[in-house]
Amino acid sequence: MKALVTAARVALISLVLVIFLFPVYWTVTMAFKPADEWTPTSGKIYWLPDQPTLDNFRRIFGGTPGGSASFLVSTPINATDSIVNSLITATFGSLLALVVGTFTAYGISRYRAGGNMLGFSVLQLRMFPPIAVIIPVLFLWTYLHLFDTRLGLILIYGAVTFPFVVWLMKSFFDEVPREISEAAIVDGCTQFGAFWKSVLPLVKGGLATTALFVFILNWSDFLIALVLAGNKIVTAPVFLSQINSAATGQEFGSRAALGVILITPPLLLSILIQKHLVRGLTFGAIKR
Amino acid sequence: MAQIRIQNVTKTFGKFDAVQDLDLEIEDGTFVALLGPSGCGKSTTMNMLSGLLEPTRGEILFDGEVVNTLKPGDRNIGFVFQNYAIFTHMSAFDNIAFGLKVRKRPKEEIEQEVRQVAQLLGIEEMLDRRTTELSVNDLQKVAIGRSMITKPGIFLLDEPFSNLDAGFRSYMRAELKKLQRELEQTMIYVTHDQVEAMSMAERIAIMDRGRLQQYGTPDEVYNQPANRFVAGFVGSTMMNFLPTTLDHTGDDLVLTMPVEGARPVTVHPRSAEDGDDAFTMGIRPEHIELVDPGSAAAWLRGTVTLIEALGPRNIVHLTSDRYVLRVVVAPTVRPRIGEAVGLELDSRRVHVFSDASGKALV
Amino acid sequence: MSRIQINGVTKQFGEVTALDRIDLDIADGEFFCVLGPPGAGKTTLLRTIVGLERPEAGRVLIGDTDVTDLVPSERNVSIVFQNLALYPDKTVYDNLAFPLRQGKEKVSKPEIDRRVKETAEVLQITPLLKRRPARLSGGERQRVAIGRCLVRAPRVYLLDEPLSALDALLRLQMRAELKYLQRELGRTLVYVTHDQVEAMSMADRICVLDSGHVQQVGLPDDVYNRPVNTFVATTVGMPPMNLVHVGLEAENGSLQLRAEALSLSAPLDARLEGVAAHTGEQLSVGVRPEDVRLGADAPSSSPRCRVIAVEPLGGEVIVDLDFDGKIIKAMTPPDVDYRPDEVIPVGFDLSRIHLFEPSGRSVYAANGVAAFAQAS
Repeated sequence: MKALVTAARVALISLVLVIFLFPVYWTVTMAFKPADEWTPTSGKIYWLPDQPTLDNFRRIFGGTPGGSASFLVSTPINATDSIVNSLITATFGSLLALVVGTFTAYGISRYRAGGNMLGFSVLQLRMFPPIAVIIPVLFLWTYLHLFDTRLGLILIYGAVTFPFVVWLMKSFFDEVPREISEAAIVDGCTQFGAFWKSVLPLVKGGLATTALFVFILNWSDFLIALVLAGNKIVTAPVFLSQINSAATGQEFGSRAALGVILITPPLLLSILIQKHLVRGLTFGAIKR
Repeated sequence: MAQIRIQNVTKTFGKFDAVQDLDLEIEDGTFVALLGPSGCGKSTTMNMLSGLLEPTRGEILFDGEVVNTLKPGDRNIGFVFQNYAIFTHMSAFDNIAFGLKVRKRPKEEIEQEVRQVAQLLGIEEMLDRRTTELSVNDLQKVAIGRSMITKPGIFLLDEPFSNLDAGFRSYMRAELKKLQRELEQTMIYVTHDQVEAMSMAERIAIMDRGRLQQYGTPDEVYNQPANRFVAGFVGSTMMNFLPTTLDHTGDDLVLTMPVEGARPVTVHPRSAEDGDDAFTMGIRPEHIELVDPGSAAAWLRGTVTLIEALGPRNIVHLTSDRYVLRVVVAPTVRPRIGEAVGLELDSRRVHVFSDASGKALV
Repeated sequence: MSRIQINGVTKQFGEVTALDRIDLDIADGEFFCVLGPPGAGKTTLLRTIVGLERPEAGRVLIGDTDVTDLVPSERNVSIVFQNLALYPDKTVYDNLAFPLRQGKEKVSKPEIDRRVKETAEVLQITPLLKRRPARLSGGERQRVAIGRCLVRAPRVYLLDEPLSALDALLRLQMRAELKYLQRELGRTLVYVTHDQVEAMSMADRICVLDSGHVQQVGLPDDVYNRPVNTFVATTVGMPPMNLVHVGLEAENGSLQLRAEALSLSAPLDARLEGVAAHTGEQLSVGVRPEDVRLGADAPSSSPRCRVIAVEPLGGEVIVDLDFDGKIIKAMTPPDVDYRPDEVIPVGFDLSRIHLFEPSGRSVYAANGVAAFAQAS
């Protein structure tokens, strides 16, 4: 009986893994497939590229398609600008949300800033799906001359991910006993000093997790960048959606190549902060 | 009602032996305390009795039957925890009735049983109140009521009174003892506070670092400690320990302490062991008297360093040579700090421990 | 100069008054204990002295300086919290050094090192300097918390139930150590606890606090032998003082105290006028367990009571008795042997009884001289 249960568990977990990992696998393999392996119209599904090539990568950085894709008649495209735009807007937008949000969370957690309603109100911001408010924001941004600017995107990214930061960081701050910051104050710190030197080091792990989460949200945003920018300022996800050619429609391989490149910053970030994701720093501070 | 036998039980977590080779027999209907410092293995032992943990080696028997693998729900045990484990969304009545409701007993029976238990505990008027309205003290009674309702054979209590204030704790101790006598249940009480163990238990099992140190009545563990650990652990004032050497003269043992100006003490040994080299003697503060430092009969002389005035008695701390000693005196006795005093001891109350094994020789 | 004066301090949290017009004068260098049940306001009082709470009314003076408007770091006071609040991400060394690194006057690195090491020596935690709090035992963490206070050499030390989480045996050992330490430091130490043994054992003076009010301040001997009301009488002393209800009548120039099991009388004289004012009311006779006489020690006219329980504590025995439907406790030497359900004579040492009027205030304490005698 126990063996059946274990077998069922393994099967279920494998199924879930397959469902989640399949798109990644497909994208990575697609990125290295030549054009004639892109679609099954040729009759065969290529699980692995038969003739792996770097053509797709060359294509998205300005090269003219050669080889199997030479039938594509289209102007050269270069994704570099869009990647830079994405990096700038996502990074600074996340930073904005992190800084403002962390201080807000500390205020709510420690000093009950805003009474009972502020925390909830902030969270409510996120209950509106962005798509519901994107048009009014478009008008507002245009009025403020923020339409189609990097600054505009940074600000909106900061605003949109700010509730997440508050929500997550507040729960981390709540776990730090209030007496630790009080001890620091008694030891001579200012309020800010107590926050910076005694509390913040204890939520490093939480901060890292929140930063990663928020960065991924902003980095992969498509809708906001599409509506609030899109002419002069194009972010990578928007750029990716526009990789077409008159002849074949969507260029799967090129898109997959850009996709593979876009996975890298979040991946790198996770690896960098991995050691900070370890918990267990608060044990020992309080008696049980 | 159940007789409990813990037979050579060991519990290992990874490389760590939480309980080592525990052998204990608890007779039906007795109140036993499991006493020891944090980490001694008492809670682990309790968890094995309850079924939350399985022994790594050895057997636990209830009334002669091995129960190692029996699930907690099937063991007919009542629990009272440190944190009450009260259901906050129910009234006091519902909390107590819980065990019977789960067993699907008829409503009238539940009603009757709950009222009876509540009466026994003195909380009948609280039954309809929500638990959030009750005081900490009443909540504890509700917790006890809930554990009693299914008439379990054994009660396991894990430091249940540690959250209560001192006055109520002393009251609850008497109540619990009374309850245990009336119900004639086997009760096992885990604590690190020797006063609780001494005041309530018929027998005390003292543990340290996973091993059983002594299993005896309060009188036995206090007046005939089996080893140095028990001697130092039991007692509201710490026993005085001094190194000593032994000399056999006939039937007597003469103790000589390497303390400046100490007179040898002659004791009549109950048992003596050879082969050990170094020894420690122990004497409780209440078995020493303060005398004039010039007195010829004085065993030691010292200088007073501290006085604790506890109310019904005072404790005088003094140093003699480089050793610290404590003496219990009447509340009216208040020597000055720095005063020279002499000590006389009752040689019938002296204990001797082997340094190597810790075991008591006298 | 570390005298502390608390003048008319009131602290409120919303509707709850935690401290109600508290007046205290704590002498320079005193070991001052604040004793009271949970919720009495002890922690709030401590936090007000250190500056983490601002009183709604009243002033706090430390060493004759009004510090009421100063932030904690300016008061030169340090505190050990009940949950210690050690910095978990820092080593013991850094925990001890932290206060020295914050001050406005920069302390030089070698000086910091010297003071940290010195403090570690005093508390015997030198081998632990490189460890983090998670790897320390309860007692060791305790010392680090105290060390963090010591390092700053403040004028006043505040300790909030520092021993409550330690094992009973460790608590016993730490009592004497704390007392010696305070004596060496020579500074004022305010110690908050709910454990009356700790207060009695260590304090130069005890303040009994309840629900934000000071009940009594005095030497341990005072609060123990001359409690001003039933709250103090039952808070100080373990087991608590027994209280027996009696009716007071005056007849023929003598006062009579009567209950079913008890009958006492005394000639009415000047000393008992305070008592006589309550004629016709229900008073409480207070007698401590050690002043209850059992068996052969009780006078022959004593009532006989049933033994309910016997608690052998080693150095003494507590006997619970059914006195007129009420449980009273007697403390006897360990060599007695009473059994439950035995019926024995129970008497009170009349030179040590107290009388409390209905609101709880003390109207009489025998103080060694018996005025009342057992009426037959």
